[in-house]
Amino acid sequence: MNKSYSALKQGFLCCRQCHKVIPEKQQQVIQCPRCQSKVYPRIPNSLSQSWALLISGFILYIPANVLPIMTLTKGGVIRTDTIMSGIINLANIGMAPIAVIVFIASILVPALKMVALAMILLATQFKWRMSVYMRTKMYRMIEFVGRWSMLDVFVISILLGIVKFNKIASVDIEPAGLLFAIVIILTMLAAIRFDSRLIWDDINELS
Amino acid sequence: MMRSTLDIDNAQHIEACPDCDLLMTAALVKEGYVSQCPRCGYTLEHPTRLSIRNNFFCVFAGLIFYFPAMLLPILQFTMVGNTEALSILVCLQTLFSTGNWGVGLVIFFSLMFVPLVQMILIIFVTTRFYYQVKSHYLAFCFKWYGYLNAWGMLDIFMLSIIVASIKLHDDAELEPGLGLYAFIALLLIKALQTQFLNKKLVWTLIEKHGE
Repeated sequence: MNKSYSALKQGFLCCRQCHKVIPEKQQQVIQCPRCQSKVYPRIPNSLSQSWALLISGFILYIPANVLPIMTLTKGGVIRTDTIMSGIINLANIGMAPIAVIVFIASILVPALKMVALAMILLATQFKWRMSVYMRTKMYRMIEFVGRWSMLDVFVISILLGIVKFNKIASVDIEPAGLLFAIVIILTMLAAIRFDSRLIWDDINELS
Repeated sequence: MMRSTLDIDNAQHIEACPDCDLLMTAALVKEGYVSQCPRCGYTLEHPTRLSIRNNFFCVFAGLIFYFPAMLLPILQFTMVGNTEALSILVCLQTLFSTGNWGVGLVIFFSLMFVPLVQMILIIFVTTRFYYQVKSHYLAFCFKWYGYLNAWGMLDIFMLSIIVASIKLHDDAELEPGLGLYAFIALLLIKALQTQFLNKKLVWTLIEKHGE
């Protein structure tokens, strides 16, 4: 494996969409003959786009956790929950396993995901000596796990739908519901816009 | 599967890893085997028997279950004496009627729009292969199938049904509705279809069929 050079270095471009390998010595932007999408040597401004999406996601992550996500009115008692207080409430009524699932999906995963993506971006941008295997593994984990944070948004929607029929109780979705959905979408986009081949380009330069 | 020697002059037999851009010679992968990138471990190809035909039948079955899953009640619940039923469509209507446009759009897009459009695109692509019809739109369709892949969230909705019903455990008596069974069937079929899909084979066929 000691003579592993990238396709780009050897005069080939690989289409991001259909994975066709196209000979292109000048490293220009061309149109893929198979799927007609534009083929770039690497996604242009991949790192800046990814940073922009990640940082806006991070900024919105704070109000999404601080603001209330749902208000439940039952028999005259009004209860407003943030994501965290909802989880604590679940644990208090003896639903600890479910509380753990919700905690992992809606607090732990988004936070870790943003930290991990930021680390990958920093390491790639400043050529840190961080294992490329580790970075690739982290990136794949981020891609796989990203969607699962939508769990809480779906749960409050189902609760809203169910409680609508009840005459003595009512559920209102508060701003954090939408904010949280936007955070997840932004971080998913940030992961998509990052070109994973950039991780390996350092290696290609070293060898 | 190991790949080593390179024949750069013959671009026909060359392949690049989409994840790490390693250039390597393309190998014929047998059905049931998996080929991985020797450097980063990315799954390059996973051919299955009768991939195209099985995809068509999976999606056909999926379309049969799609509408019951969306329209029939997924949960039936009894609260203070009266029984009501909730389907995904009703859930969506409630979101829009209570002014939660943003969350409503997210649910509509990830639960209704993306799965349906993906199935229609796969039906279009596979039937074109089956009847040997040439089409300019094949590449376009399959490209969009790939774009939408990250945004379908049926599996997450399944988990959130479980979480929501446990949350309401004390306040209401919940029973699964017909829609839930259809939804589970749709979910399993979707998983099976993804398993059968050999993207590399589809792209090769598209290249052969296109003009």
